[in-house]
Amino acid sequence: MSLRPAIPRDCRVAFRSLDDEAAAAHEATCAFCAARAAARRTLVEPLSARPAAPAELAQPSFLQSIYERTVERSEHGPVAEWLNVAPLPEGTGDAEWGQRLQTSGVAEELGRRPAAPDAAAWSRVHQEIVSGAAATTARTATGRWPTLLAGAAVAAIVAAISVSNGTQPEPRIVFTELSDAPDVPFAVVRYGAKD
Amino acid sequence: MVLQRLAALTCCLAALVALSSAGSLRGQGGQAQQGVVKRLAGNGVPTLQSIGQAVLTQDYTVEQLRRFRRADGSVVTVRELLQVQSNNTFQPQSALTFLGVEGEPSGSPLSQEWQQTYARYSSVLVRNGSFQVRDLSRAGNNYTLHDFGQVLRAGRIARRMVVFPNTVDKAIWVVDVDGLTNVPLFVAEFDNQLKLFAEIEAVNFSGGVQNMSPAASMQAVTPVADFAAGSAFLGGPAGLVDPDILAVVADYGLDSVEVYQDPLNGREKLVMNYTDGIDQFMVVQTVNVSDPFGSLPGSSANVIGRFRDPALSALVFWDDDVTFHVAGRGALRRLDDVASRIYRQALSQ
Repeated sequence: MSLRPAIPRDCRVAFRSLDDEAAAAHEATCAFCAARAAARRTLVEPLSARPAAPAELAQPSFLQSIYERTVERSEHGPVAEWLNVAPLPEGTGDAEWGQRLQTSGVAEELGRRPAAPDAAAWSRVHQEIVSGAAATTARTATGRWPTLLAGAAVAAIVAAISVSNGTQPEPRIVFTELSDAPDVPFAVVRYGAKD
Repeated sequence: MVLQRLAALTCCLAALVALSSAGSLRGQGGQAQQGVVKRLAGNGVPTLQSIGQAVLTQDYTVEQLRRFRRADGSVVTVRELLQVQSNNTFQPQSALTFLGVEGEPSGSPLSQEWQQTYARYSSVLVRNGSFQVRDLSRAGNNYTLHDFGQVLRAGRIARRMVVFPNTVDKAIWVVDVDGLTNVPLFVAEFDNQLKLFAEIEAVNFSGGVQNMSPAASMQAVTPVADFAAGSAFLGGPAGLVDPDILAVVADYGLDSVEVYQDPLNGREKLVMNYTDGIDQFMVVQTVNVSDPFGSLPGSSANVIGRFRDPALSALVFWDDDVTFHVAGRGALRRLDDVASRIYRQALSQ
């Protein structure tokens, strides 16, 4: 079915034409265009004025009825069914809801341990890790002694420096602010008698 | 750089003169006339030496108003009588007598409270609570003196001087110096933001002393020669520390060492005063005291308690049955380093 409106070709040409005389001449010979031109002349005045809305629409009860219909339809929908099932906190000042949440089914779902892996697959993973560690140990075995000797040398140097300087770690001092002046003579000079 | 510092100094001095003349703590017009900025020249202009040496020879009695600016911002004005009898030393005999709190009836609770404070701390107020040239050499190195001309103070001709520090962490002083005796008749202390912290204003001044009876301070104060003498006086307690702090405060030097004995609570303290010639801070070591931070959580840490506001810096810490206090003016933030060094000395003993 074509979506093109059923308007004859000659009529479309006349509609698009900017020549008013040619359009008027076409209307005089074409019943289709004459009928539509007459309808236009009849409806142009009513269509130019916005019709006033019925007074019933401005009533608060009308808007309330719309809300009630919306709620009634939602009460039977999937959202309403879910809300009826899910546990809700009791009251607005409920301070225990957190505790109940922790013991609820939601927490159980979150804290459930994952399923144990397949025993054969875990065994293969274990063998891979062990074989990889063994290979690394074999490669580094030949370089173990130089590493140990280098570490011992560094430790000896650090110890020698520490002992030669005789330094002790500086004690850490923390300042804390006081709200009132302590009982010192200078405070009396400044403020006089304490309240 | 030099021109900028000179311009800043000039603006600061002009603002100080305006503030002092307005008597900002009182909010009323003062008795002083406006001065004019002049160069140091001519006879009758005090010097740091003449101001410092006035205590050597001058006997006088002055009724004055001392204004305390409290931590809450309120101002309390106390009327007091200061009598000074020279003994040709820089520690003349003196007596400070409480006369009353301005605006308070005699015998009111506030008046009694201040009377007790004066009874207990009058010697401290005399030695540490006014402008003095404590060390002429250091004062000359650390301060400059500026003449602002003649003024009238307590019915006497005086010279308005501004004592300006060479560093920003010290107080600026405006001093009206009596023309005859070189005794300060008016003292105002400002910080580098030109906030006024202390003010002493003479209202009556007379030469000589009559019927002077030094008020028996409730604290026994014994001057000693140095730290070793003070430690021996207290029985040589193990926790005392001879502070090694000159690397941090090289412009200061040890001024005096005293032992305080408070009969009210039996506390004994070794008080060491350091001065840069005019400014002071003190290191107080109180023996036989338990740890004030011992009950706090995490008290195994080495804690220094710090109180600081624009007027006062006070640091407190404890080690080996000795409580240490380091206290000075609020702007002197180097006291944090002083306290840290003394604490490390104590911990290493």
